[in-house]
Amino acid sequence: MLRQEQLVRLCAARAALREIGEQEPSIDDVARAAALSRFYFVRQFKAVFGVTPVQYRTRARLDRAKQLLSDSDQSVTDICMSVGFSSLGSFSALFAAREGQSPSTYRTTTRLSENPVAPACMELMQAAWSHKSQISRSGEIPPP
Amino acid sequence: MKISLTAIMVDDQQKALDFYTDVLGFVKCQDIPMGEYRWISVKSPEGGDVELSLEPNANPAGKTFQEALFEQGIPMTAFEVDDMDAEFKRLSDAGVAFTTEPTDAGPVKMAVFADTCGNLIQIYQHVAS
Repeated sequence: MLRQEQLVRLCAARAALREIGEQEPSIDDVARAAALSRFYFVRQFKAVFGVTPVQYRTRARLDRAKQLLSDSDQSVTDICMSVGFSSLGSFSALFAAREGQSPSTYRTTTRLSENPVAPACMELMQAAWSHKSQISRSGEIPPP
Repeated sequence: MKISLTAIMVDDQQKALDFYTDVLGFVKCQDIPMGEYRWISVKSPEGGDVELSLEPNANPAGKTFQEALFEQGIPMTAFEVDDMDAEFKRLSDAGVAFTTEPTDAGPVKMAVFADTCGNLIQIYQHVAS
């Protein structure tokens, strides 16, 4: 059973794992701050958030990269390095595996988007049903 | 007017679909790719017409709300179960982390668990009076 104070510590750990850059804490540091052994910390984090701390940090790096690709003019290589990847190849491969497109394509698509703000539920539903009705009318799958 | 759709914010739609179907046992209704996101909904195999949309929490306003509730230990929503003790055992055996074990609360018995997607979920069973 997870007690309230443990839940609060895990939330703090999750926030710490989102800190990207030179001052980012190690997984051991985060576990220590949560007052847990590394083994128990990883196990509890996975049970509560569905991913390991390392997977969560990787996702945070990619989320930060997406934000920079969308909002800044930094080169893809600079962004790759600034979010903590040491290899452009592994960054691009991970990015493409998760997002289904390369970082530079993501930048182009996002900037062309009419609605760059992340959609809320009902907007997404409206778009999805409109998309679905186009499929049923034409029999072909239009681009989203 | 009737309620046939509700939504819950999730931090990763695929992870959520896996948890809500493979672990909780709901069935997928809709899964429509919409660019970066998907329109995904699930429903209970035990009946009822209500679909639950697994909404991305990418909107910062929603994410802030979701994380605040979670940290305060407040469930985002609640699902009814027929047999609390059996569900508690089934989910615990599947590795689900509970923050409240089955507890008598007047006309219901309730428990709370983490859905692995940023939410606490309450389950409750009506108790015969």
